[in-house]
Amino acid sequence: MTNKGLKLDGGIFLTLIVAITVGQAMDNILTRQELSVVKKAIIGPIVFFISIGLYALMYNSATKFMVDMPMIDHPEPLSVLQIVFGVIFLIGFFIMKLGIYEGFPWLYVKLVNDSQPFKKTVLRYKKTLK
Amino acid sequence: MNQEGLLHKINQAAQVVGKTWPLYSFVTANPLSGYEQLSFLEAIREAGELLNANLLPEPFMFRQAWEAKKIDPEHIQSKLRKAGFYQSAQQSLLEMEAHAKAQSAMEQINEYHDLDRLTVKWLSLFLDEGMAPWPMPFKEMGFYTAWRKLIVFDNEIKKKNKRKIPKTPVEALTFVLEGFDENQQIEVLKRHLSSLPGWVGFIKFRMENNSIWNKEFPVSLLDYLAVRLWMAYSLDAPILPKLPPIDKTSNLITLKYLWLEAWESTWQDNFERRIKESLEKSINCQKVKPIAQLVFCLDTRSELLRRTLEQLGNYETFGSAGAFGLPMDYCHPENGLVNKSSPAMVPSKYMVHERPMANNEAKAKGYIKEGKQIGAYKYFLKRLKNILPSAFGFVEGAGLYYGGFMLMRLFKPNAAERLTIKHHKGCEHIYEPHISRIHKSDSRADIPLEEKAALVKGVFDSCGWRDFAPLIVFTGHASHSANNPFASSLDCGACAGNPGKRNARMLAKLANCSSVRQLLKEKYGIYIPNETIFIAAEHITSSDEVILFDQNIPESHQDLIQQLKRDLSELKKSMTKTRLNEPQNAVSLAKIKSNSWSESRPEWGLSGHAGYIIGPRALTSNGTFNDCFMSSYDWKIDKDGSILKAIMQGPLVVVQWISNHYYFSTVDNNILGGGSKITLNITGKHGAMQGNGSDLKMGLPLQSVMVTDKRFYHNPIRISILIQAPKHFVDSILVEDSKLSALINNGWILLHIMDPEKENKIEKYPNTSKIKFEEGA
Repeated sequence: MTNKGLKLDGGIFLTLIVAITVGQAMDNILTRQELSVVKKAIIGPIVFFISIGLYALMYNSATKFMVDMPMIDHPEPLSVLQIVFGVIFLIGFFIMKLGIYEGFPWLYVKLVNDSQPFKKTVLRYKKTLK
Repeated sequence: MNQEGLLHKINQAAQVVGKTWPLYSFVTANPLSGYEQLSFLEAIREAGELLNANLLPEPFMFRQAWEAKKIDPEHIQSKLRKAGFYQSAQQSLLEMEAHAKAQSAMEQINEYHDLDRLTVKWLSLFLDEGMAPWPMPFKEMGFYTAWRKLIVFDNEIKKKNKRKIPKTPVEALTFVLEGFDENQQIEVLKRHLSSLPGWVGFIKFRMENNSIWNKEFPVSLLDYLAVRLWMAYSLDAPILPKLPPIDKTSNLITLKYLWLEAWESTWQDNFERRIKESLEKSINCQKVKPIAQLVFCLDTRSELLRRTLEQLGNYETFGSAGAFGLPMDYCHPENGLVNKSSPAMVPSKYMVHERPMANNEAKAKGYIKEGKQIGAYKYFLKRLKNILPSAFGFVEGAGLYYGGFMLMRLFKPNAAERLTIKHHKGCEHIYEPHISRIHKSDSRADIPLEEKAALVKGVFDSCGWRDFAPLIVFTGHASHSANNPFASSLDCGACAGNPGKRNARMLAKLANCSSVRQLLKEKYGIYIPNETIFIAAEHITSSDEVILFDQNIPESHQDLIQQLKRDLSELKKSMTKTRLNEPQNAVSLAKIKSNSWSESRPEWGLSGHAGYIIGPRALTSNGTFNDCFMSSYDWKIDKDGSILKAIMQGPLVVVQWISNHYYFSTVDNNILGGGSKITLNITGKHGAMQGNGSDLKMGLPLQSVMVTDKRFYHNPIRISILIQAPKHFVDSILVEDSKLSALINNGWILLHIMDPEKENKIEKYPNTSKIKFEEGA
């Protein structure tokens, strides 16, 4: 639908993200208890096709919007660095998705510390009372 | 040190910190409740020093009040003279302003900043209540153990100390406190508890209320102190913090206190005049049997409603605590979640469940199903937004829609509200409430008839009510606002920050029950005519709308209901005009304020209150008392003072909590309030912090009590209470109740008695506290 083809270039990341997003959406529908099997069987494919359709629509809209820009049809070739990044990304996803992180407290603390906001907070100052 | 001794010391030290209620059930309580055994002045001196807070109004507040003629020059002059100050009122005000100016330039670095920051980091991780997609590991083992297992990986703590962290919090505290004598140990505990009073207050809430989160993931003050003090030891921070230097020769506190008293006296003068004028006019008014009687919460927001409604038609109104005398919890039919729905300090005795009304089973199923679908939709969006890889695809893909909706919420909030996916109708048209005892093994079993009748009688008694109109409406209240973390602070305080309609519906059902009426007649001589029907309603305080729950009204009362609905519609127009001071489109403006996500002040809530009247409507019906809480009470039917006792031990204590909460949120909004809403961030679904990390905010935000940073809306004065009853009633109640007596004698509330046996003369109730002016005088 996007005419992107199956070439192995930088565009594979976009395909990967879309695939995971749609997969997540499907997974969340299929695991909901309040939906009957029949409903899941109907809603699942609908969401799948709408999601893919929306992706294609946005892709084609963005392509049309950027049609005059240079290098628009010259995708970046896939580099080793990009592949490593993609693999780390996928590993991170599965560590979270499967709850593997729970067995590694050092990882939790490391990520907590790395994601802490700026160290100076409003607690840094106090007034002097007289 | 043994565990028992340590816990005793912690409990003793913990009195310096109040409770911080979660945002989802925000209760406006006195943050200095632990000091109520001290006089107000002693308490603010002691707590002010410990919390590093200004607990008396700032000079700019006195200046504003002085210029608005809210402080009588004679009052302040006389108080200054009596306390030994011989400068003029103007000079003393200038003196305070100069002092404040010098003080504002004296901010200093907090030497415990790193310790505070790390403590906040670990507390916010542990106390999270479902906001974090990746919860803290080992939480089920309790705060200390979970922290101990994780801190070894924290590179912000010195490596050498990580291996020898004691296994239990008692061992850790004993180790750190070694070398300090008994008194010093209590001082250490006090100062570390009061260094983050908001967070500590929330731990107190979780412990004392035994919240479901605390059952699953226990935390205690012992854990907190062990964690904090061990980190202090590891960071080489002094274990006994020094208090900020206080200039003992300064007379600023004394001056401020005198100004506060003068302000209060001026308000009381004006209040007394209004009461007398209203009472005089009432004596000349002829009483006509009303077509309907409406009971509202004693809340200040009910006053304008009652006054307007009485002007619109032949209605009689009453004021009662919004829980309507039902010490109950409420179980929501959709999700089974239980909320407290009675004053926070009253233990709940009953559980109210919803059951589908006859022939409504299918509708009930539909309602539950709709709720599940809404839940699934929200869960679906949240998951897609939060899961790492899908966030890229989903957020970018859905950005256009969200952007459009954001603009709509900004410019067309009412339309956006209609499009929001939620139940657009409550469950009241499908279900009816059912009351049972809270701790019975068969939790759905009915309560005895006697108990039901006593609950109904309690409300009639407290309102002084014996003649019944054909239609009686119990009206709870709630507020609607968008994007407002403090939304529950605008709901009913007597229902623990929840909507009051649940109690109103339950009471109406009990009062409609024929066997209850029969028993009331036989046992208590209370005769309710057969034609009298009770219904419930809800007053939406942000839009001035009153919604009637009139599904089961008989044909005979339809005309009356229609009449009431027409009057309520008129009332909405009139009230919004007055309240918002907006001659045109006031109804629409009120709705916009309520639905707009950029509105930081959807309504003023209880801001502006200063008094509480316990007496019949005749005291207030011919005046304007929108700055007063009002409880209906008729001393003539209270033979032994027991009804007054119930009001003084229930609603009066709640009003005291509310009033002191508003007072302290106004005088030091940063420490005891919430600070500005603009820079607040929600943490853990239960609380709010300023910016990138702070103490947990325990009070109302700046926008709830101030017009601007330097202009107050809420008068920061203590509440004045007027009771119309024989003085000996009050004497005997206070002799028996030392806690209540302490509140009055220590000046936390200012009580006045209007004694009907002494020609309604108003007298200040004796204040036996000896205020010591240590300096200046």
